[in-house]
Amino acid sequence: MTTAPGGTNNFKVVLLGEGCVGKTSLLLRYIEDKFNDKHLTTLQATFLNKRLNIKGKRINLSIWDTAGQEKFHALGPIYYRNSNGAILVYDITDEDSFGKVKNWVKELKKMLGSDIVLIIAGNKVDLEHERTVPLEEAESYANMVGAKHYYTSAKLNQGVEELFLDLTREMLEKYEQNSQTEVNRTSQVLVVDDETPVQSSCCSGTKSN
Amino acid sequence: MSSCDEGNPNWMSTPEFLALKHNLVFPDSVHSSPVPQRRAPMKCRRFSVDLSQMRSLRLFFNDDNCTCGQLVVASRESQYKILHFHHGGLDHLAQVLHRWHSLLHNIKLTPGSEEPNLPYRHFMVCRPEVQKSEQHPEEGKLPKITPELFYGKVMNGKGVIEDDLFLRKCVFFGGLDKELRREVWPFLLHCYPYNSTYEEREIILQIRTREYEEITRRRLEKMTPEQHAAFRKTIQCVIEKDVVRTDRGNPFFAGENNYNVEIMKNILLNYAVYNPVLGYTQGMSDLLAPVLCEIKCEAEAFWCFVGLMQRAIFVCTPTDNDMDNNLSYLRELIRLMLPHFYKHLEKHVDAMELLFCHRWILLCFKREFTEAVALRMWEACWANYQTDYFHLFLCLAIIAVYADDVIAQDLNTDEMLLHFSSLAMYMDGRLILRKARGLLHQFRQLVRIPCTLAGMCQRCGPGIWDSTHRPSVECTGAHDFCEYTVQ
Repeated sequence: MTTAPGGTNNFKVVLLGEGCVGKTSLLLRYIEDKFNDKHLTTLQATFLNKRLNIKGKRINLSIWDTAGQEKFHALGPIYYRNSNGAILVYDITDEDSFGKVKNWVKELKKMLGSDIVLIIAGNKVDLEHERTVPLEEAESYANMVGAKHYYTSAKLNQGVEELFLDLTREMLEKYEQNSQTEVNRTSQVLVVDDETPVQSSCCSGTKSN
Repeated sequence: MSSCDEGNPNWMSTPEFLALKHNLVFPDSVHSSPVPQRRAPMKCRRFSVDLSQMRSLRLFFNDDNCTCGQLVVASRESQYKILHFHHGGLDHLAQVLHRWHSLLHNIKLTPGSEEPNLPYRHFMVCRPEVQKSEQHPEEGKLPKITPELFYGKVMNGKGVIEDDLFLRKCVFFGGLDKELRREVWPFLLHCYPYNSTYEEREIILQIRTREYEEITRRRLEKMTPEQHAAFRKTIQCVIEKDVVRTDRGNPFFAGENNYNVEIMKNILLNYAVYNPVLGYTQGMSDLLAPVLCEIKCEAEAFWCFVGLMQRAIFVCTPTDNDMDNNLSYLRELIRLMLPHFYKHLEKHVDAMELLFCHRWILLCFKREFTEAVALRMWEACWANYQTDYFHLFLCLAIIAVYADDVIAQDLNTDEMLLHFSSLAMYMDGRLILRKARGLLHQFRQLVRIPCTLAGMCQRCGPGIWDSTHRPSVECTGAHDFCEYTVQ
């Protein structure tokens, strides 16, 4: 599949991780540049769209936010199926949440192989003094599984923009490589019609939910 | 198009300001609290959009005169802009849009043009009303339970509720006065039997308080250090993270070091000790908060919560099995009662997972409607009138009222999720309740039901088939062993 001139590349990204590690916060910081440490627990997956321009290419990210303590495990695959990228989030002050990241890596590698770009995010670096997940361990683990590792703080707005930007670049690279090598490969990247961007200045902000 | 009222430039009267004043502000996103936060009043800003580039334009009227409601503009990327008309005027706009729409249709009909070339995919005016024929025959015939009615007629001098069916029926159709929640909820939640006297209830409360204290002691004093460490790691730390972000917009739980948040935490910790199989799962704090806020007494709130979690089966304990059962019943109900929507689901990958209604079931609509309406729904479910699964009829009602658009626009699985989450806090709850009661009645009129729904009709106090009407159960043949297979 080729990208139509001036067309938009659609990428699907999924945020995964233990409950209360900051998945929703990272997303809201990135999309709306807001932070609220009292927002509600996410109990049902949903997604937000973000448009950006990289290397002159127009890109639309559909970023799926999932429920961390999803008891309904059968749903996992629905969220990550057809994803181009996954952000596995843990809380640097919570070792168990890092263990959960390892489980997700295993599952994604098993189900999707190397089709998906993996990013591991150690969130809440504003709580550096309470850190329990050793820096070296996290970084060497990420290295081992071929994922990039980022330190983020949704609260202080650190590392968030970079994380999404780098992820998008990687997904774009992967997509371009794939479309060169395997012309007939069923691509997960869809092309939507070109159109003028919606003017989004308004009283309560254009919703992308 | 502008969201300011051109004829009235004073920003004080913008829809946003009025919405803010009346606590009707649309949440910033699906994640934010449904309880609007205080914000500095905003100056009116203009927003413009090329209507011909939009995917859909929808008008939802929510009053009987069809003057107030929402205009929902959806872009092709499923970005939504919702304009609220709280003080009329939407009818005039509807006329203008209608004229524009017919104009476009005329263009479309010019000879020679082959493809219908509408610039936008859908224009819909939705006047959500439930026809008289779709209503439950008892609709509007039962009073709301007010203090006068309750203390005058329902409860006798000794404190006994002699006819609990009458009470439950009234709660189901007419609702319950807010003041009576403290008194009536413990009955609905099986903390006290309906036929107990004042004295008996005092004794029950004493016993239950002692039992509760015993549970607290078990948690604090009787665990081995290993047990304690494990409990802290798997349960306590999740609860601690959740209670501080549950209903903090409610004054009862607001502010730093709020004592009631501490009580909420204790109840949840004790519940995990009391019911170690279920322990704690996210969502439980959301269910407890409104109960604690009304009941206030810690021990009593605990036992009401126990009733809520275990006996009132509308709350689906968030485990695979319960959720699975609820979803398969709902799928079957959709197939039987909303066949058009079922066909739509069949067309799209993963649509049968019904992702868009998981939260409806998990939290019993708490995040889909304003608190007053959601609690009205909880009470209607707790009334266990004619079914233990009224929550599923509420789900059906939402789909029946708000899914025409989904079918007309042929929304896929993801878009459906966006469609329904964008409706959260903007649906007409009273209408949904009326529609759901009507659907329940309609279901009870069926002469035959598939075996897949047989389980739904068991285990109900007086029972879903407590009338003279009994349907026959037929095997759908979709599974191997079925007691209803005709030999």
